[in-house]
Amino acid sequence: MAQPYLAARGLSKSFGPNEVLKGIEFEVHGHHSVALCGENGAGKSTLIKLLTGLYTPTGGHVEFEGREAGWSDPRQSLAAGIAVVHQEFSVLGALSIAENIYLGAEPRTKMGLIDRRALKRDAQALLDDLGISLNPDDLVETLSVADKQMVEIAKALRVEAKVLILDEPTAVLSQNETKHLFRIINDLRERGMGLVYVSHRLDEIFEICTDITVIKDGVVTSKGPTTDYTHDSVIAAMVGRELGDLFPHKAANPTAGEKVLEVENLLVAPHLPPASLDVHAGEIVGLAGLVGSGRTELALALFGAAPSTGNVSLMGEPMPHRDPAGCIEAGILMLTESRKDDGLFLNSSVARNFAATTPGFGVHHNAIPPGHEERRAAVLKDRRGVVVDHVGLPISALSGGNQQKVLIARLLENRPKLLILDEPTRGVDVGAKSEIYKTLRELADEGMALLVISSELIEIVGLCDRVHVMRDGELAKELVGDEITEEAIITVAAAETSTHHGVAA
Amino acid sequence: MTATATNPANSKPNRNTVRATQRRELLILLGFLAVIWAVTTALSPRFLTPANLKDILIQAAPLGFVVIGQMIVIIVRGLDLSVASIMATVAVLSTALIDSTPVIFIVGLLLGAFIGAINGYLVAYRKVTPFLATLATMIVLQGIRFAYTKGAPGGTLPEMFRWLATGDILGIPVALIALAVVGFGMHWLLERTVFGRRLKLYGDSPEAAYMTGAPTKLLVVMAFVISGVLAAIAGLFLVGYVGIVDNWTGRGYELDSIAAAVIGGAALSGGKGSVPGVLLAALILVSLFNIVVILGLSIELQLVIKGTLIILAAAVYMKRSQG
Amino acid sequence: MSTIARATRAQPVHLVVIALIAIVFVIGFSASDRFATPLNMANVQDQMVALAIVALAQTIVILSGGIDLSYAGALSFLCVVFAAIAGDSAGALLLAMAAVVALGILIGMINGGITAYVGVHPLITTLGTSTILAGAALLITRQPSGSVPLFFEDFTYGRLGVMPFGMIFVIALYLLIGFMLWRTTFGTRIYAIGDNEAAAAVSGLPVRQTKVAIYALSGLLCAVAAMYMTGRFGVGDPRAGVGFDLRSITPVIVGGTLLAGGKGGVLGTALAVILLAFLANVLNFMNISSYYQWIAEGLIIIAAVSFFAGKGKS
Repeated sequence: MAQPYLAARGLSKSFGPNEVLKGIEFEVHGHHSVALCGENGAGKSTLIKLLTGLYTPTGGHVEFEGREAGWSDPRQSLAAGIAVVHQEFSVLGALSIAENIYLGAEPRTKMGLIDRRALKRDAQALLDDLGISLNPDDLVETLSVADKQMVEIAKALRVEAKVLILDEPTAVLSQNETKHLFRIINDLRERGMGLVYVSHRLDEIFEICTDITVIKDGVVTSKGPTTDYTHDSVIAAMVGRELGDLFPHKAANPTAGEKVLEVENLLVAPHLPPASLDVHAGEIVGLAGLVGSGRTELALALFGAAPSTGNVSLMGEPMPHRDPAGCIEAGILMLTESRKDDGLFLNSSVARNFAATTPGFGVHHNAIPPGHEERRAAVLKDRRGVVVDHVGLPISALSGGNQQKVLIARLLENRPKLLILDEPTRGVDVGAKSEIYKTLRELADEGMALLVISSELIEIVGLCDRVHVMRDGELAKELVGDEITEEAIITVAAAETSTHHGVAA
Repeated sequence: MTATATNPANSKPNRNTVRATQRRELLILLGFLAVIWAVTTALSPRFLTPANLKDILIQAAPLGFVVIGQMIVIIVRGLDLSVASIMATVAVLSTALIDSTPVIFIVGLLLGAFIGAINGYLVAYRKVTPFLATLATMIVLQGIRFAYTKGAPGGTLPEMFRWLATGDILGIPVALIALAVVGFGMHWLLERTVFGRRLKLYGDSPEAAYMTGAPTKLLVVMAFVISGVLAAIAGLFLVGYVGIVDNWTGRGYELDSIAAAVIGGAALSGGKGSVPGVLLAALILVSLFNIVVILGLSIELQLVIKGTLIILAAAVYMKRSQG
Repeated sequence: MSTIARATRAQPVHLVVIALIAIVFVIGFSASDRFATPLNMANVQDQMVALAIVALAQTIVILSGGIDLSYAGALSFLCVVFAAIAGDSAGALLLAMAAVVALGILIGMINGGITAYVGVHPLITTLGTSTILAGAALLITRQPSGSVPLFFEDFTYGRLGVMPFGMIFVIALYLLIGFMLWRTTFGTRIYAIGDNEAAAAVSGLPVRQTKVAIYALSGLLCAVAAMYMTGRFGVGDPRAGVGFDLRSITPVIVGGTLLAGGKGGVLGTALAVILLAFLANVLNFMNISSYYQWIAEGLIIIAAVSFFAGKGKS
């Protein structure tokens, strides 16, 4: 095969104690589209940031057209012809579509001024070329999420790109919009571009990708042409371990315990159907579904961090007016989805993070004696297996797995009756994962009720006693016991596409 | 918790703990103060005299009160531009209305708390940027004060007022005793109570604080109330020290208090700050002002020194947090 | 909504401010016969010029998500330097102009450099430089001193009908900066950085260099204001800039520019400057002391910010 446009050669990257990528070999050829597969936290986003010069590698190097690239800034990779559509939008709401597309490369008049007419014309031509019908003068803040995504793609393609990297581009798109995107991608590939496509959706990968590379826990576990793979073999390469090793036993009789949480007709948003569910003492109930299916919104509403109407009771006690403080007081605790955004106190010590939910635990009259926090933390870190030299260190010095253990430990200080966990193992290595699973099961066995949200099917299947599958904000189906399989969940979760857009997934 | 669990965490000292870092910052401030005092002592015999040191401390007291409040507001990611205006307004109104010293103090503190509550309400409930909310309060108070006094304040100061601000007990200035009491109290509140923990955690991450059950809006309001009360105290001590009630009492304290808070280790990004740190910074600033006078330098050098110090301190803290 | 709206076309906030100006005028007409006289109209405009220029500078900085509190010290310093050099010859005046412009730009570059490259909050940086410059101005002279050539002083007092030369100059400046925001890449970058600095960096914009340029432009405009003020006073006042740091912010906010950056423009600032100047004028005619004008100004800020509070989100 000809020389690849872009390649990773023995690429490694560490963040402090975390080795995220180890010796990655990866190639992108012209006329090819490579799927980059892997679970959350496998290292896909890090690889992309290394390939574009946003991160510098701690080992190995990036090769562009056969030569070591040595980029230290995304501007350099962009100039070489590597265009990226990021997971997080980089479009600016205060600017127009045309201004966004040509930001930093505006067409100029002879006087050096922005040529507004050319700007509009070029943007229009580019949008037309991609088959996107938008007015280039419109402000981006007025657009839908899907249209913002289209602007993002147009922006990436304003330069003569050799390689286009798309990081989960369809997460926010409807079926029709996805189809449209696929036409664009296929067209670009036929014109000779090399594409990298990151997605969790295997159907999409098999539909538009010529090659597949699978990453697991920071190493490439498998790669080759798509024709060599089946859905199952990709999943096997992504997961690559026996379930039995990772997950503890399940509850013998999940709904035997007392009803801890009872939810009737909970309305999270006026246009969504009401949700009803319950969680018993001693069981782990899963909330499965695609990203954006409304799982987190439901959990936040239960926890009182988002407005809702409907009946929620805890141990038979109705909780009409909920807010996080009241829920914590009553015994509902929640681990949030994004550690860095609303979980950790990044500038505070490990000890203080341990104590954040209950700063006054075990003290009289709200007066905290010296060393109290540290003594508690020292006990907690041993009990929950947190590895840290000194509990006075800032929490940012810990690995993702240890940070997550701290967050779970501090919730347990309140002796929760109901524990809501949103993506409990996101960005956590395998070892810590299995410890977290073990802890959660022990808690259930001790009589706690647990509600777990996860995007990793394997986690839902391996951990949960009962599963509610969500779709478009609705609790679409409940699965119990042996019914809980990846297939069953996907069938329900992705059915959205067939009912709403008339195409089977 | 059992007695055997005592201090296993502190068994091995670690340079990089949050507390060790804070301690080092305090030592640096202390070292800096020692160096400027030593240099000045070498240059002039008039500096290191009991009378002059007492003068410095008395002068530092009003700024000390204000900077503690300013720091607490900065800890919750705020900023209080209204402190100087509160100082003057409280001094003007309460001395004009009443002539019993204790009652003046009570009314003054209540007034400071009320103004602080308005600031806090605008920030926490109306989502007005602290900068603009307190800027507006500052201007409105200025108008009310001048309108009430028609430009010429006529409040008379009871004798006790002078004594409070300039007198001493057993050779220790009363103002300093008051500052020490307030300083210890606020330090205890910040470091040893649930409320203080919540304030600092809120500043570190408002979102995480909300999700861990902190009463976030109340915290912000309370921070501004504390700042308002401390500014009121500072205003009353300052008029007592100067001996005249003036519509511009405390002018410049808003910026001086921000400067001292930043030099003392508070970061505008929130969550960081300590009472000893900002009091040391206030002492450093006032010492430098005093040194300029003692050495017979142009009084305007005070401004140059202050400006340079605030930028340097902010830059040093920025580099440390990155490194 | 189209992009033109961003920089120039009237938005609801502008209409509100225009309506308020109209109300102030109606009250003015009924309050005093002297309100509508050419002399009064010209006087109000004279009072606007310096603030209008400084508010224009502040608008640019705030649009980029920053803030510039250095005007108090910088104006004082530049006024003193200008009057010290300008003397009474045309040659000296030219030299003084060049020096003050260069110093203004240098001050701005220092502000921008410390903010962008060291990472110090712009509020702290510019507060620091302002304090230093205020001290420097007083170190040069404690009393107003120096002079400007008489013809320059006359020029700053000159009028074309009811319009002072200064006002014509201000209008030209606003048009020029408005054009810059609309038609130059620099203008687009100001909005981009103010809207979302991280996204602007990911898009490949030179964020740091742009910030330095923004503060440099702010310093340059400050120098222009200083020359005008010195011309009006005929002497270099080392306290000329006192209060301009915070005063420059009010018209920007009242004009609808968000303190967080990314949204707003020069038209709103221009209208707000006009509103505030005529409001003060009319209150004077109504014999309402300036004390109540302060109360009004504070309440207007709160009203303006509350008005935009809902719109600043998302």
